[in-house]
Amino acid sequence: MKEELEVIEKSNTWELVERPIDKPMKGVKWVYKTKLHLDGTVQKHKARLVAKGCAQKFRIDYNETFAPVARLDTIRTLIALAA
Amino acid sequence: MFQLDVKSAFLNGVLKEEVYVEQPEGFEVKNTGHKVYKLKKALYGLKQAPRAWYSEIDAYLSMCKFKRSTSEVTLYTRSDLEGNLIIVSIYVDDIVYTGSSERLLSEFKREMMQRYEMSDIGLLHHFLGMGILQTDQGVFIHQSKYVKSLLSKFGLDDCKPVSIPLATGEKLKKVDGSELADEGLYRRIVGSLLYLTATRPDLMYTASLLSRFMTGPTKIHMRAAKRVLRYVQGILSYGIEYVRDQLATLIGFCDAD
Repeated sequence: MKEELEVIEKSNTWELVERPIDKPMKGVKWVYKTKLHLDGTVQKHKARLVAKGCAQKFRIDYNETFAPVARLDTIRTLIALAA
Repeated sequence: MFQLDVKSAFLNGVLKEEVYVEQPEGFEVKNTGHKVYKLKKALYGLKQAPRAWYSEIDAYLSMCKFKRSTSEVTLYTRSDLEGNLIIVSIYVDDIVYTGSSERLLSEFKREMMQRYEMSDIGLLHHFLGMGILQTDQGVFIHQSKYVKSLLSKFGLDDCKPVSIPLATGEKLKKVDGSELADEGLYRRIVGSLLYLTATRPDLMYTASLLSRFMTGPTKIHMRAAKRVLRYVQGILSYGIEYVRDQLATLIGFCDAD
């Protein structure tokens, strides 16, 4: 958890401010994941701080959300090209 | 083909909206319990986090003089004066790249490492459940791990293999008089088969045929779908091989009935 907070601080993600009276506030929580080695033994316990996005309201907290990802066909074509 | 992985990618996405979050419980900064965090960049969980990250990487690649493909917006290319080319594909936090010159490749890697926390995976060997083997002779792609997990998921680990995916002479019909089967299970099997076509073009016809019966599949359709899994069992580790410097020829077959 310390590690995750360090990464957040390092990437200049947020700044501490006085609580605004007229702005919606979101909670955060920790999500834990156990990362395994290929042989199934525990590699590390990872903590990720997440915002409760479910409480977000369209047009107030966010507008656009679409983000494209690569098509599998594209990746395969790229592989064929690289061969 | 090489791969880079951006660590905590979404934390790099700059937010356009004003978002405030509470301080995480137990980690409040001393004597500031009443204060809250105003986000400048995205946190995981925010609805706009993936988009914010994509905007960020898109802006950075444009700044580095990459050209975005018009038909595939996650594909970028850059060429140098000698006509060498580098191609980059973005899949959220995974970056796959290849190019015709050593210099372009290392230059790109340096640019990315400078800007983001990265792990350098080196040669691409695994992507989206697909195994990739690269040698001097060419590239082989396969989904044998996925096939194995698929067979155990559907309880067919030790099934008897068959040599062709569909039974000869069997014509599937929407209504065939047999009982209705579990639609959810049928859809899961066909969905898995469609994904398998990525490295198994021999399943393309079968998977497309079975997809026609996604609503109201019968026991006969289910039997056909499970048969395909038995076919796959027989050739677990098959995949596609791209041989270096060999021209590919396309052969088409057709049959009308």
